[in-house]
Amino acid sequence: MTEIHQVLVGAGRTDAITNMARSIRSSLRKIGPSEIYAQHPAPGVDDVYLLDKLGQSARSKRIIVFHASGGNPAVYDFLDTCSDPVILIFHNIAPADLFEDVDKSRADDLRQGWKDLESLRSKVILTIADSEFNAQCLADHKYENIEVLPLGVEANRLHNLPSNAVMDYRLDRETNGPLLLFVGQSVPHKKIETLIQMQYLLSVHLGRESSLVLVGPPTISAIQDAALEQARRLRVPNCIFLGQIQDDELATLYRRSSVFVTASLHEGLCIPAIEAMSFEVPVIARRTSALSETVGDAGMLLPEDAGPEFFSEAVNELLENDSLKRNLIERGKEKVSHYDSALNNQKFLDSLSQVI
Amino acid sequence: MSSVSPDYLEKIKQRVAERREAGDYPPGLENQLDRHYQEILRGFNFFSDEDDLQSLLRRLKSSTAFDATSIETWSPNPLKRMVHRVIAKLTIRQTSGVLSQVQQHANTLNQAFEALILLVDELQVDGGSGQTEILNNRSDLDKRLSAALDRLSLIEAELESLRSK
Repeated sequence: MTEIHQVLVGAGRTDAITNMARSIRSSLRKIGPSEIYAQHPAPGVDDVYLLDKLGQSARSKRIIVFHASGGNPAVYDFLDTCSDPVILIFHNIAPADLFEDVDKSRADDLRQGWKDLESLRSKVILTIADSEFNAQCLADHKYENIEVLPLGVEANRLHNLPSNAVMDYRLDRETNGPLLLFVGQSVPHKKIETLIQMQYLLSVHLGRESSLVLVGPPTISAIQDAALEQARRLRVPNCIFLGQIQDDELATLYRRSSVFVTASLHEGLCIPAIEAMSFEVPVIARRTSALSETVGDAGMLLPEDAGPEFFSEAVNELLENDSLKRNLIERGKEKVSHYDSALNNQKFLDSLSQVI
Repeated sequence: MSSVSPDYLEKIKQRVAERREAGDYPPGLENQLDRHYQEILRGFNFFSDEDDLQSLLRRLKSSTAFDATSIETWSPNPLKRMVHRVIAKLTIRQTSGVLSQVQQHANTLNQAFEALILLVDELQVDGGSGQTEILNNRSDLDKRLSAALDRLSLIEAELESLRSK
């Protein structure tokens, strides 16, 4: 029997790509043994094994499903030395240039990631991109026959979770006015400072009461520290950094949010935007990378160079224009229906059966 | 479902232009906010050329301890595992010989890099004093600008509270 194991660079309890891998694993287990391995599993993640445990060869036939999301020489070394064929699921690689001044070694890893991806090509038997944008990026790196499939995206995964009472209490006490939510890592291309400046303009220049809640791990702590410090120095009211939170806390936030807003310059898919639309929260984003297709006409897509002034006016418009808001919510629901994990995972199994 | 009006972008653009014209958004406000953030970010400086050279040297040193026991002999196949272990034992003399030569070479390389980095540091101190002065002046200017921006924000907040009274 063929074993099909997934390999990730990092794995977390609430990490989006790990959650996608978990969803894919449950489908793969219908046809044979399947586990998830990662180079850097976070502490407490007990359903993902260390990559070292996978071993470079196996007695039975084995296929590796590799989730490419960044540069990591150790993982590519492993893939290079093992003899198993590879199925590539591409989630994109962040733009290295934006990391150059804040984390040079990470910038180098990201650049190397593209090179390693090219050298992996000869081992890949099936190529999957989770968005058209990602497929185009792969095609630019000489990949062919790319299937676009948003695998393992469970848009409604948080819907059955109860609200978290502590989060509810915090929001009652610490926020005022409509809640503007951002979910994402503190990395340069997410431009969280634009959101801080947006909240500053909304409160000081437009006199609009609102609260900005930022959720996500401080992957590059200086980025989050600097954004927090700017909020403090400008005395931006109602600006809350929650860091990494539990799923039920996130579900509570989506339920209470009026707008999901991201100033990100680069997204391979943007799962938080999909989750927001599933909770009937309209999305404001830049018309860039995969956001144009993930959100499309179900959100307010601002010009790529939109600054905090544009963002604050967009929030203001969305909060005041009920018919626009209702329209976006309806379109968001329709958009989310495309992310049917059971259907997409089945399509994956069908494609798989043709190559093994 | 009715279609989303594409006019909203134009409407927002126009409103931004109006606010700029009315002075609600002072000229260059976005640039000023961005400079303010960049100046703060520099304060949390976590990376410089020198730190990077030193950290590279530390990484180089930590990766140049060669040891035969670090060579993986594990395999999921028990037979292969045994074969790897037997080969490892049989060739231990040759392996140790090669490792010893590599270790000597790595130690010499480390010493050479250490000397080079010391030289770079000295060059920075001797040849870079003019630049340091400029950077210090620039840093002072940035601090004064930040302080002015802070004061402006405070005055704005006070004006706002007076207006609301």
